Amino acid sequence: MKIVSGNAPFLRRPRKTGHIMRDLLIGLAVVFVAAVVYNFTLGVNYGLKTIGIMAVSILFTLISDLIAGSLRYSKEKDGKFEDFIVIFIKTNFSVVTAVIFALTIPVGTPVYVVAIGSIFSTLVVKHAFGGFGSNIFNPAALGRLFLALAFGGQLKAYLPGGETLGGLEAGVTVTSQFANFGSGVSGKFILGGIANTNISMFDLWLGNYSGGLGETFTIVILLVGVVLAAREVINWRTPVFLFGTVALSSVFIALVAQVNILDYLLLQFGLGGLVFGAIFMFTDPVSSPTSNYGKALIGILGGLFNVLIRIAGSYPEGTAFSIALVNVLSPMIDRLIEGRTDTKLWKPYTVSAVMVALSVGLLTGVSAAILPARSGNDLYFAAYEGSYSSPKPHASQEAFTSHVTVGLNDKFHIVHLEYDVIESPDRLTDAQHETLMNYYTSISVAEFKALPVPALSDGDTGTTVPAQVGEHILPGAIYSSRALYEGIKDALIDISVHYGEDVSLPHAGATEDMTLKVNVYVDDTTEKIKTLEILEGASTTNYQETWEAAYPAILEKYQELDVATFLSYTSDLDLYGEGGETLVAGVSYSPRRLFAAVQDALEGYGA
Amino acid sequence: MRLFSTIGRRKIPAHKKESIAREPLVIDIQKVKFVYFPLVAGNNAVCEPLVKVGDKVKVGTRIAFRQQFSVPLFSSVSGVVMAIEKRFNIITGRPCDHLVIANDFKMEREAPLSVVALDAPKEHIVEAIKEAGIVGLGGAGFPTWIKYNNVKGIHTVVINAVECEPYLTTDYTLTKKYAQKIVTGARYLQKAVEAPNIVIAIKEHKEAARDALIEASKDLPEIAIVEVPDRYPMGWEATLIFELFKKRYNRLPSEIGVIVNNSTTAIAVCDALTEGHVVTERLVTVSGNVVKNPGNIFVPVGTLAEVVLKEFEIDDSKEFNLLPGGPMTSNAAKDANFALQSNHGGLTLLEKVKFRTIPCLRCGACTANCPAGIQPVEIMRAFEARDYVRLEKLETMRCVDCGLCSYVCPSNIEVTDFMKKAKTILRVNQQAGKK
Repeated sequence: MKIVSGNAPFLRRPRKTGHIMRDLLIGLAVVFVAAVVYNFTLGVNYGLKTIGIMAVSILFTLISDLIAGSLRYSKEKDGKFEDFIVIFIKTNFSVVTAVIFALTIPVGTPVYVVAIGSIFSTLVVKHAFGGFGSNIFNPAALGRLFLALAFGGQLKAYLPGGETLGGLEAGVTVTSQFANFGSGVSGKFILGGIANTNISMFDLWLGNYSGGLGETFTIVILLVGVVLAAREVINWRTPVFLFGTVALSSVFIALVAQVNILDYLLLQFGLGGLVFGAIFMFTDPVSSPTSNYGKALIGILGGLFNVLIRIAGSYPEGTAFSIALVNVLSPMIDRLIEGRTDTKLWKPYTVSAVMVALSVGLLTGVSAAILPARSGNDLYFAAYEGSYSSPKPHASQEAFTSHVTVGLNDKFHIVHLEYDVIESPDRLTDAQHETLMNYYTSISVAEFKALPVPALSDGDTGTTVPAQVGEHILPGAIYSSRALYEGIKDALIDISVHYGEDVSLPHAGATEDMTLKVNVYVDDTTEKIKTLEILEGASTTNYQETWEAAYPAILEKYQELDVATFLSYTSDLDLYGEGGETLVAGVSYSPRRLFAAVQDALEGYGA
Repeated sequence: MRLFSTIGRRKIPAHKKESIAREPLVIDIQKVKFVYFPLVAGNNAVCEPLVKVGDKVKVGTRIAFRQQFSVPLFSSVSGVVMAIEKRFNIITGRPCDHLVIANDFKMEREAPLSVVALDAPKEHIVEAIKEAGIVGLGGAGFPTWIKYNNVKGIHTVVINAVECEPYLTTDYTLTKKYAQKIVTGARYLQKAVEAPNIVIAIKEHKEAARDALIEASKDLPEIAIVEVPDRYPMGWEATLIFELFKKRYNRLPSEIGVIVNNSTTAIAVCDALTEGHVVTERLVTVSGNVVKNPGNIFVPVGTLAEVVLKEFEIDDSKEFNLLPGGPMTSNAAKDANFALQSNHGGLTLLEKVKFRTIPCLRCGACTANCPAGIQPVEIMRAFEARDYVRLEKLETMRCVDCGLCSYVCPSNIEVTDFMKKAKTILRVNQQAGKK
């Protein structure tokens, strides 16, 4: 009898690490297939580039493995090199890192950047820290971070020539479009709207836009995540607690910012790499705590950091950073969890509940603090942003691009103006700057639209074209004036002004005429009335006060009203509802006259 | 699925069908030429021999006595005391003196011990259990009378017929056959501590045994037959008690008013107290993927393993592990030269499987499955760092070597082995600290 020795137990579960990695790769392959299919719809070169990025990532990861294996190999201990290196590569499972890393790269990234990132993530983040099972940081996340910091500008979501592809404007991803309010305006990730971008909510979740290769397919990733969690390949606690914390804080942030809760929730999850990171990178077992309690805690912390960076940080995307932060905390969490896991269960329940509450509280507080201040008169009723690319003011100077943000009050007067660049080099004096700003913040949108465009004389800075005047045209800084003007014009490009009048009597028994003149501002992309600006004639002096008290309620009925709907009303009662005749005691004529004036203004709209 | 706590149990392959396909065998007594009794018990307690070389003994003669806990040992055959020789003791893991008895094949029996009626005072019952030298036959071998001596506040006696260890089927076979004895034994134990209730726990899907028990206890309302899920290690005291009573205890189940004993022990109690017979033979499951005709076999206590194995066809072409017990908790024996004691319920022969260990994935599967609720992966880390303070904080000594951690580890790490090593160094460190 050939009796040999061994260690108890002598039964083992058939599922091994290799099977876990295989299942993970299958899940990633599904996402990759979605990415390839989407990119081929953009063009053959896009599809091929996608496959190329994946191939390069895997190839250079293998090369890194070979380098690391050769450095580790010692003839006495490890036997033949060929056998050793094969086992080394097989048991390090670096291909999973390569695939995840490749899926976070946008399609326009140059191949050499992908190669460098791949080598960095495998060789430096993984092998230098001890190889499989010993790395502190998630290699794919840190590789992505490294690229964002070192090669940020080259991580484009389009190939050369495709600047307007996939719902993009030049040089930006959807996430930064969403968040970009121009510099200096806070509350980017809160107040940004899907309307700022060129895609719909459905497209966002389906992935019909360009971002990181695999990050955009929210629905697909969630389905894959559910399957993987069911098969115990990833632990469900981390993503669930992460999503829970993010969702809960988003609800409260939306409440504070007074934006649509459901929209904001869908945006928070659909944009950027949050879902992809939560399913594939936060759940990396090597860089997570080992106990279920610890895994839940990093889910909560990951959600906190992610949303915090999004709303208060300078990067539009917080996932990679929050992964790195959470990885740093994992060993400490492991260390703090002592004793048994089946008693004193009140501890994990209390701690996680408290942490979720604190996270939500912190995020709500931060968002409340950074939202643009709403104080008194300077009400930002609406804000728009625009940009303009100026040619070279002079042969010795550079061309520049300006980004402008315009804040309007509810009469659509410009109350706030911000810009990042309107001159090159710094030529605008303080006095000139003040003149421009003071001028613009004293006019309404209608008045702005009536201004002449500052013309540029050939090749000469600072010379006005003869016979062109305007307080917005500054001699000596003509290109700057032009840039600011064009920037504001671009910001307000979707707003059209309609002038209307009503000549009926201001009230029963009036003796003199009082024409009601009103400007109606319509957003042409949504075809909705944004607001009204009553120029004159709404009410007689005696009733002025009563009218002003009643006006806000009446104005509300017009705001965000569909133009087509408005034009279909035959009487003002349709708009004001029953009792509109006596809507406001003492000024019942004014709402009716206003209605007629607006009807006059919008007549023929869209024709 | 639990949110934060360990699941504490797992379904593992049972491999029981093979050995219950055949009727239990009885070994031909002619083949058992010698029986061996180790004179050092499991916790290194010494047993003094009461006979010397040349003495004649019968089945049931007292041949040795363990001072610690006052446990007598009895001869399982009739014959002559041959020698006291050194052999490997499979229970302690070291060689020790063994009492060798040469079998004369006549199987003459000693006079039985005095019987005790069911309505006898509890002290008499405990005394009779002590006289009969009954130890826990579920594998631990702890002297049963100690558990029942002077205990108060017990509300339930639990009879453990779960047998969660894969491959072993002795408890099941005996439960089917001797359900009535289990019930009687349970009643004696109940009387010994004046407990109002008895619960007999059996694994689900064992209808034959369960029905036998229900039939045997049908007129006794204080006995409840409870089916427990088919999970490993449902037969461990703490897991079983949590399943039955939803309570946890710190060191002994008597803290929450429960005493647990194995079903075969209950049979031994019944035999001893109603007929005065002591444990002289044992049903052993010989099975494993190297055994071509697995089955159960009655052997006298003290038979050598190699004698038992000769009764079965073994595939000799492969290397295999010989386990004196089940595959999850037993340590492999070096050869078949050891003697089977009364608490050995099986010989499992498994083909040697070579696997390659890869670095720890830190997946946490071991922690999520540990029935004792401790964190094996963290204990491994602390062990490698020789961090004794942390080892204590992690409650390392709670480990019962159930083997689930190694079972679930996807990286083929010998987690259970690390746990044993960690316990050893911690114990040494604590004792060194006490000096």
